[in-house]
Amino acid sequence: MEPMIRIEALAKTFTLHLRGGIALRVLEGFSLDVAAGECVVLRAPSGTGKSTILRCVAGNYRIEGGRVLIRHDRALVDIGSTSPRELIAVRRHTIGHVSQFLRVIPRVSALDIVAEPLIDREMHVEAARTKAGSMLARLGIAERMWTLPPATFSGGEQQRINIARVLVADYPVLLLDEPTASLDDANRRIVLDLIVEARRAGAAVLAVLHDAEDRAAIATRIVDVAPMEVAA
Amino acid sequence: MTDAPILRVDGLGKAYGRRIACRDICFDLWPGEVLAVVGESGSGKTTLLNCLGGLIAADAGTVRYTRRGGGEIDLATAGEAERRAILRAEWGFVRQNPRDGLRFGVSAGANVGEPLMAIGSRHFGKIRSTASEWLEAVEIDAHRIDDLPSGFSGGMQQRLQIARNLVTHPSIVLMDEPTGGLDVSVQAKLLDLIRRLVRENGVSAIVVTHDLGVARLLADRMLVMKEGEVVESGLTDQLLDDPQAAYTQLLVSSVLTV
Amino acid sequence: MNDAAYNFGYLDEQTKRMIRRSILKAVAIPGYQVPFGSREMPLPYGWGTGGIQVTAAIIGIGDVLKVIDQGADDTTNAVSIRRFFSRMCGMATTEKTAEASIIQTRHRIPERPLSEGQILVYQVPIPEPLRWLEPRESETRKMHALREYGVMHVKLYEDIATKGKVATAYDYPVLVNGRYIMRPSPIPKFDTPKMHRNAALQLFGAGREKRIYAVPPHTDVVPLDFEDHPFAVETWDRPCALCGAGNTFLDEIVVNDRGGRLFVCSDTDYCNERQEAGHRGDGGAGLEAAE
Repeated sequence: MEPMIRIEALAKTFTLHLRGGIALRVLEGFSLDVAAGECVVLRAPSGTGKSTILRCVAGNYRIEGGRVLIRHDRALVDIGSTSPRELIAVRRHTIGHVSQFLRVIPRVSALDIVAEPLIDREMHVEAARTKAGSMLARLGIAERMWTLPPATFSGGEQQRINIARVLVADYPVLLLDEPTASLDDANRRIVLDLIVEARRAGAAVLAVLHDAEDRAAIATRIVDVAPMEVAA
Repeated sequence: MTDAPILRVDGLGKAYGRRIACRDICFDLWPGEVLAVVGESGSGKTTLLNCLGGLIAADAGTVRYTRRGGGEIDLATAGEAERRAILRAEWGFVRQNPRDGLRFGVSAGANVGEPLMAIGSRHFGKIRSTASEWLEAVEIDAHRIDDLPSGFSGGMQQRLQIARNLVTHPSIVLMDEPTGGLDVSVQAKLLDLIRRLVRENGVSAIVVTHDLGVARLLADRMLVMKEGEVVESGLTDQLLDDPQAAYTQLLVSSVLTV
Repeated sequence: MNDAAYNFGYLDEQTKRMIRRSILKAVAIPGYQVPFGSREMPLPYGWGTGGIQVTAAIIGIGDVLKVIDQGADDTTNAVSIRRFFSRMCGMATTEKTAEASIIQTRHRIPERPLSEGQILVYQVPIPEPLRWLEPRESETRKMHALREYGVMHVKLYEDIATKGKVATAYDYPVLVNGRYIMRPSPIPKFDTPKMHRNAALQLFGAGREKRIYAVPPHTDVVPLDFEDHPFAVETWDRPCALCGAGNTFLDEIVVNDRGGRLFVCSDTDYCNERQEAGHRGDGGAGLEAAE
C-alpha cells in the first residue's frame, strides 16, 4: 500500500547560537512509513525527540537530514524542500497537527477557532460553524462556552478545543502529540474514540502517547524511537 | 490561492549616503498572504516598507506588481504618475502614526470616503453609506461618522485608518507597526480585526513589526531583518519555533511569551 | 492726459513682456497656474495688484477699460483703478459692459453676456484650490500634474455631511477644459456657469501669490459636484427692486435706520441699462408695506 507519510533517515540537530553554537543532535537515521488507515504510535523515553519527529513531519521544524514525504493531492510532497507556499497548502488540506498547546487568539470564540480550518477550505461559514459545534458538543464543551475566547478556559478544555480544531476537518494525515494529556478519563475516552474513528475513515495517524493504555487503545503499530546520545 | 505571486521584490536596496538602510531584499508575496517583516529599530524594515509604498525611492532592485487587470509593472522604475495611480487605487498603507495616515481636519466619514472619491466615486449618498458600513466593520459607531478623528482614542484612530485603507478593496495593504503605542487590550482587538478583515477581503498584506506576537498572529510568512539585510525567512511558525539564524534565535529568546 | 513721467501702462516694457509670456503660456494650458515675477504696484496686495499687472501688460491705446468691484463701477477701488489707467495710458474708460474691450473685475462677472474680443481680468487673492488641505507648494503642484483631485470632493463632502448642502458660495472650484482644477477667484457661485464656454478671454492675476492663469474663449468650465447633489446657483424669491430683473445676482441694501432693506442688482451697469430701457421694479413696495 502507498504510504501517506514516508520518513527517510530523518536527522535533526539544534544549533544553539546563544550558547556558543553548541549542536544538539536529537534525531538521526529515523525512517518510517505510515499508510492510510494506519495508526502508528511512537514510544520512547521523554526527551528522545518524538515531538521533534511530528514537528518535522508537519514542517514546523526544518528538516536537516533525510526526507519527509507527504501524500498531498495524489503526489508525494517533500516537506523539507517544498516552497513555503506549497507547505501552507499541504497543511491546509492534508496535515492535521495537534500540538501540546493551544495557541489562543485574542477575542476569537471557541466555535470560530474550531470552524476556521473548514472556512480556510472554502466551506460556507454557517455550515462550518454547525460542524464545529457538533464536534465541540461531542468533546463535551458546553454550548454556553462556544462564543467565548478560550484564553480563560482550563487546560483540559483548551486541549479539547485544540483536538476539535484538527479532528473537525477530516485531514488525511493526523499528527497527534500527547492528545490525551491533561484530560480526565471520560474525555480521554471520547478523544481516543474519535482518533480510532478517523483512522477507520482512512486517515494515516502518527501519534506520540506516553500512556501505555492509551497507546493500546488506538495503535495499529507501535514504533520505538532509539534515544540519541547528545553530541557536542 | 493562485499560483502566481502578486508582488515580486528582487534585489531592493536603499542607502542614505554611506549608510545602507536595506540591501538586496528579495521576496515574493502571493494573493491573500500576510508577510511579516520583523527586526529591531534600525534594521531597515520601515525603509523597506516605505520603498514599497512609494514614500521613498529605492536605489536598486525591482518591485514587480501584477495589476488587478493583469499585466506586471515594475513599480521601482514606473513613472511617478502611474505609480501613484496604482498605489492609490490598488494598495493601502496603514501608517504607524495615525497623524500620517489620516486627515485630522475632516470627519471620520470624509477620511473613509476620500479614497473612493480619489478613484472617481461621485455619488454622495453611496460614498456616505459605504463609509458608514466600513466604520461598523472596524467597530466604530456609525453615529460618529461626522466626528473629527482628533476626538477618537488611539485605537479608534488606528481602526479608522484601517477602514480608510480597505474601503477601496486593495490588493495589497502595507502596515507599519499597526499596533505600536497601543494598550495591550486595544492591541488585541485591533489584531483580531486586522486578521479578520484581511481574511474576509482576501487582501495580501506586508506587516512591519518588532513584536513577534503580532507576527505569530497575523502572518503566514516572515522575513527577519538585521542591519538592512534579510537574515532568515520562512513560514512564521518555522521561524519562531525552530529559528536557525543566531539573530532570530536571539529575537525569539528575548520575548517574554510568544 | 498720459502722465509723461511714467511708461505707458506704468510697467516697463521688459516687465510687460515677461507678463505677456506668462499669459500666453496660461492661455495655452487652460487652468494651469503660471508663475510670474509680480512687481510692486502703487497699491497694497489684496487690492488687485495681480489684476492690474495683467491689465497693464495687455492694454493698448485703442482699448476701452471698465473696472468693477462687487459688480459696481462706482466703488472706491473701481474708480481708483480706472483713474490709474487713465493717467498711465491716456486711454478711454467706460462703465458700459458692451463698450469695454478689457474688464477688470473683483467679485463679479457682468450680467450681460460677453462677446468675442473682450477680455475679462480677474483679481485673485488665493489661486491654489488645493491650498486648504495641502500647505506644501511642491506637493500641490504634483497633485495638479498627476490630476490627484479626489481630495477636492472631500471639502464638498464635508459641507453636505455637516450642513446638508455645499456651503461654498464664493470661489467655487471648477474643472477647466477637463484637466486642471481652478479657483475662479471670489466670484459668487451664481457667476460660475457664466465662465463655461464664455466667448471672452478670461485672465486671472494673483499679485501676492505671483500666479497667472487663464480660460481661453469657449472653454469648458465645470463646477465640481456630486451626482446626487448637483451644482446649483443661488436664487432669490423676488426680482430687483429697481429694474425688475428676475435672473440677476442681487445685493441686499439697508436703506433706512429702521432696518428697511432693498434687493437690487449688484451689476449697476446692467441695472441702469434696463431702467433706461423702461424696465421698472417695485421700488421696494414690500419695504413700504413692512413699515
